[in-house]
Amino acid sequence: MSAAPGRHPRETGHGEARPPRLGEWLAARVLPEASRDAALGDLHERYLARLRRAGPAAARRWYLRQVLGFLARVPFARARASASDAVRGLFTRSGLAADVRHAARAAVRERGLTAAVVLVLALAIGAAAVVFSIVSAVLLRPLPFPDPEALVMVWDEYPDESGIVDPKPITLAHYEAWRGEVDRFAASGVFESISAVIDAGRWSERVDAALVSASLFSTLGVRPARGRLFTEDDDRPGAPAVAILSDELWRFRFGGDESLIGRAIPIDGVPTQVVGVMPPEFWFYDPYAVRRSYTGAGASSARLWRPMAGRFAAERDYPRYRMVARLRPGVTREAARAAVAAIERRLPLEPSSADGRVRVLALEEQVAGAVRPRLLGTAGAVGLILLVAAINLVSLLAARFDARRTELAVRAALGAGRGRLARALLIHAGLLALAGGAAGLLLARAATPPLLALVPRGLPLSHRVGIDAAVIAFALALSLAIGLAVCLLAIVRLGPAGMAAGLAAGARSVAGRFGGGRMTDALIAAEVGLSLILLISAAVLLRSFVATSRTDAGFDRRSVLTFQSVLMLSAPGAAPDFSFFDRLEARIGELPGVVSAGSASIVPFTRWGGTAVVRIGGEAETAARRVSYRVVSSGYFDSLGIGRLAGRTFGAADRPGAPLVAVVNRAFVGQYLPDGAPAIGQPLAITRGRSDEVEIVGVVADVKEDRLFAPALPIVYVPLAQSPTFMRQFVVRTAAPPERLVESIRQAAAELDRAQPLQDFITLEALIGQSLEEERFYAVVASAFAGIAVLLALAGLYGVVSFAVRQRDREVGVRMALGAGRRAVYRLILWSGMRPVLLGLVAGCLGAAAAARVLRSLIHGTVAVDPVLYLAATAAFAAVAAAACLVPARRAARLDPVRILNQA
Amino acid sequence: MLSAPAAPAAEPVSPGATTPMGRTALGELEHLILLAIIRLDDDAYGAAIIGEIERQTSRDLSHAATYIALQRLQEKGLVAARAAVGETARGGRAKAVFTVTAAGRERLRESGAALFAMWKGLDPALRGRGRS
Repeated sequence: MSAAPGRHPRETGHGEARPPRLGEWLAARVLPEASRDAALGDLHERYLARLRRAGPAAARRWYLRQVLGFLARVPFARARASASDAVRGLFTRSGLAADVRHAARAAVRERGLTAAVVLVLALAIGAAAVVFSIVSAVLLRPLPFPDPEALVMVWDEYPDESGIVDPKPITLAHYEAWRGEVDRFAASGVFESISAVIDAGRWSERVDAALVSASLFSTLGVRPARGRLFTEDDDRPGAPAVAILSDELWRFRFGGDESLIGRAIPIDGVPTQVVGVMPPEFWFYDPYAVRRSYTGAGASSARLWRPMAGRFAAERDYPRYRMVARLRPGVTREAARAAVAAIERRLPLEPSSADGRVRVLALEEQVAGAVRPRLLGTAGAVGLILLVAAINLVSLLAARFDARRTELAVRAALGAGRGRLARALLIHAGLLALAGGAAGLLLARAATPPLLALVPRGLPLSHRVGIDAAVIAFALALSLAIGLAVCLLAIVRLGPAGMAAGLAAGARSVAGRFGGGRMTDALIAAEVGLSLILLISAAVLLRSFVATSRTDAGFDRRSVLTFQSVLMLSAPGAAPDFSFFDRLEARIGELPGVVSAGSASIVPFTRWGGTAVVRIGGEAETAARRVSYRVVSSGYFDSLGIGRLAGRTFGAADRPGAPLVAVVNRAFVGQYLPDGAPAIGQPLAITRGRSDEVEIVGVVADVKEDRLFAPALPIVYVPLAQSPTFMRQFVVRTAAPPERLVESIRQAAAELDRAQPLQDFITLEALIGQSLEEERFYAVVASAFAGIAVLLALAGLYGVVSFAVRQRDREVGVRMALGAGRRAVYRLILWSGMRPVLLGLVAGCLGAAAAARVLRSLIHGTVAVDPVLYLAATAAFAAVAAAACLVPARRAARLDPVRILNQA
Repeated sequence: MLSAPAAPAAEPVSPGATTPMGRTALGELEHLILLAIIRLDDDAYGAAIIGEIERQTSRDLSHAATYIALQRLQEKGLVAARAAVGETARGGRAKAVFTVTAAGRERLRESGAALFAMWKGLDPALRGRGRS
């Protein structure tokens, strides 16, 4: 067939009319080199034709459209063409069983390598499974309520006496106004965190509890496992005392006794009928819960619920309730907030913000919001470990496949397609991955109980942490994914050419470098770098933890026992007999082994707090300051060893009826008293419910209240004799180990008054330890991760270098035969291993400095980037890495050149 | 020339020749391209092939689709390519000139015969509808 005239535009004179350069450049990126020129020429030619026919704009559009077509289709088509026969081979049924058998036999034959792969995967998958089990329990699994996304917490926001605006609990008056007016809520309820003493005769225990409105449980959408929930009648004044128990409390303390329901037990000294038991999965957010679960997990849920019983009538104006609401379907949080804010403006209730500021937070956010960044940071660290492990496995598997090269090349020569060979390798890797994943799960299971004991008690929902089906599925899927990805990488590394070369060279080569090539070097450098990031980060966290725990608390924390007691009334409505506390303190002071005893409304680090508003003598109304407020006995300062700086502390003269006095701390003087003004004799107005005029009689040293790393806050101390409290916390300084005195103190209390329970015996050191739970947890986890990563990196380095030595022993033989000494061989191998390590260390330092930005918010009392620490970590790493290279180097230096060359 | 097909594996199943299902079917675009190459005789290079199909079928053809189809035809051994010198009208770039191999002509004949057989007796009805 002949071409029609004019079919091919061959005009000249358009040489200056070039197709869009960008388009040409892009198309050139994706076109295979062999056809690039022809394809671009065709485009060029037809572009010129378009240009003549349709003008430059249309021609450019057309050209770019064609380029987009290449970009979209060529890479895909090339991948399909090159993969098609490999993929076809994967799904051929024949020989599948044989491949599995073959891989299993190979795994047994190569025990050392199999063990290495399984161990590497087990460590990484174990760490990932543990972290996933925590992340899943706390962040991923929905709260145990139907339709939990619709649940919100509603807070009031207004400035307090010190001017701070933050979410604040509400009064029952607020609650009723909001509840009645807002049609955005399908249901709502309130609760208040309390604690309650259960006295079962043989034992008594203070438990975290909550007062709840009857509507709370129905708002949450929960049902009791046994008995009933509260009804509106239980909220009314004069309702009989009833309580609902958590499943855990019922099982652990009452042995799951069915007959308990309907029976009365003494709670806070009042016979209270148990009307129901909640289901085991029921859990409710309570930021004030402090006691660990009986199973060892963290706290953060109440174990006992009591109804409002008359509070709606009697206590409408105390802002101490928290409101939970369920949004109507389709109502957003913002719409609900706007509706509540409108009511807040229309019906101003005290206390309140004039501008109607309220906050509506999703319950899920309320529960997990604060811990999410740290948990995600931990997950990021696990990601680094997984990367290190994966890199490690690429080297290990490539070495393994390399060793199978001859066999694979023979199979290829006998007619096995690339697909079949790839399948054999994938099955090999899959088996190893599954074994590693299973071992990792076993590790994770073993690590979970000690981890749970370490989990900070403030971590919500930690009772759900465990190795469940989701964690197992995650771990196995992750190990398979890593195994297959690593296998594919290893196959790519090996390549079809590699297989062919294997046959030709008998799996050995004389030429080539020791390190195993650029890719191996890059892998080692990456492994070392990532591990160094984890190592330095862990060191920073650990140092912060140590520095914090050594911070001076302002008192002598050694050998101090603390406990608390809440005064029980001899009968409902009877006058409280506060003298019991004073008699107990005096009696304890006389016990053998006791150095001194004191008591206070609140002892540091017990997680309790109390504040008051003070005005310093002669100041205007606006100068109100919120300070920590502590009511203490005369023995308190001595028992804790809090130094007196000026004036006096409390004594027998500070009786009821005597002039009211106060002692302040150094921070108070520094922040609130004008420079040079004498503290002693300064009048002070203290408002806490009622207002008192007192006189400052002394100044004491600062103490830390809740957190060792927080700055000392201003404190006002007043004597217990002048302002007795129902709750007392005791501090007993002992000569003997403090734990030994618990029994004699209990006995002393029982001799004075059998009805008064003593609770929560714990040493001050342990209390301070608890305040560091979070720091300790993350420091321990980070250290464990860093340990794993460094171990993996060293193992990988050792594996690669010794593999290279085994593969290249002939080169060593030749070099030695040509006169290279043992020192030269040492140098050769050490340097080939250490070069990528040094590269990785430099990169790791830079990475760690970048990671320091995240760390900065987690550490106290130390700097995030400390050159000395970086240098020390780098040097230590380099030293152990050199040791890991030294072992194979020694082996190479001891080779006998004659024997080796004879083998060839 | 488009990239050379991967060196045939030692396996008897070389890509594209036959599959367990029998011969791979000739796609419509492949069919058109083979015909265009034959019509263009010895000047069948990319731009000319596309131009020819566009002219005869009055439809826009994407260069990318054509290239991928040409590559596939090469891999199947139905067309062969040789390089030719470029001209100024194409920026001086080389040409790949295609010819249909004997196997290609055989496949084209089979495909055409099958199509003609299927069209027999249907023409008037379809033509009528197609024009409305």
